[in-house]
Amino acid sequence: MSEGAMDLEQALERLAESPADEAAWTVLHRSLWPFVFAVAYRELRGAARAAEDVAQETFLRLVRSAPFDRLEDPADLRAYAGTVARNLARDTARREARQPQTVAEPGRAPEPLGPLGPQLPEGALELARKLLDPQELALLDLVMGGDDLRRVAASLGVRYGTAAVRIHRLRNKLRKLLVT
Amino acid sequence: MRKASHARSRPLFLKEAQARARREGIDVKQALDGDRERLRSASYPGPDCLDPEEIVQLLGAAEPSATVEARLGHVEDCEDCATLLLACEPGTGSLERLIASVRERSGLAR
Repeated sequence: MSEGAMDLEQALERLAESPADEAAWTVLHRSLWPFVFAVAYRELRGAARAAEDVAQETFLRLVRSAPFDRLEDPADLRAYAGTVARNLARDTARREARQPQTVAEPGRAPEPLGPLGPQLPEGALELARKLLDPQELALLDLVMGGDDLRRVAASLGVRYGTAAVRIHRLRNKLRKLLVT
Repeated sequence: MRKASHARSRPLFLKEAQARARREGIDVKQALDGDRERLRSASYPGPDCLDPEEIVQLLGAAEPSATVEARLGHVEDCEDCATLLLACEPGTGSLERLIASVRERSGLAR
């Protein structure tokens, strides 16, 4: 079964059989990362880089503990991963309180994000260009150009949040177009 | 007497800042500035901010719905939620590190 056809429940079944199944880990990563990241981000009050570290560490702990023989239900796994992420984020916050500057940007503007463009398989970008309307195409070029979100917002003449929503809609549309 | 009365009348936040300034070897203004910044940053998450379940729903939403649109309306007004919405998508770097760890664990590291 390819990664694309596998859902989280099937991935968990496969990991219970074989904890080294890379295709199943890929599905688990894709399905669970946003939730785990969001838990950490919230707990760390919007420190995106620290939340990414926490999310990564949560997955590494899942690899080490491989709890798939007792967590067969995706909801149970999500709850488990959420608890691990929350605890790790609290540890990070406590460390930060003792030794500032490692995480905190108190009163900060949101951190610059990594690449804003959709992560597309090779060759998909050209296909995507044929499927988008001119406005979406202009936005795609802007985000693929490597500008950060604040600069994208300035180029579009819109607020930071509005630019984020437009990019989110573009990513969703591309995901849908390229899957179907 | 007057001094004691003055000490009692000082607000608690100022007493705390003075004590912290002494502990940390900084001046009181720096301690107060730090407090002010921490308070500003404490505005996230607010009561309307996206929770992790909603993030999953927004990323998985195949079709726009009234609920999704309402939540995206909040994202337009909230820079922290805007950052979260874009930053939470899984990247190739984190997947590569995960797969490397799986291989290491199973003795397949290359």
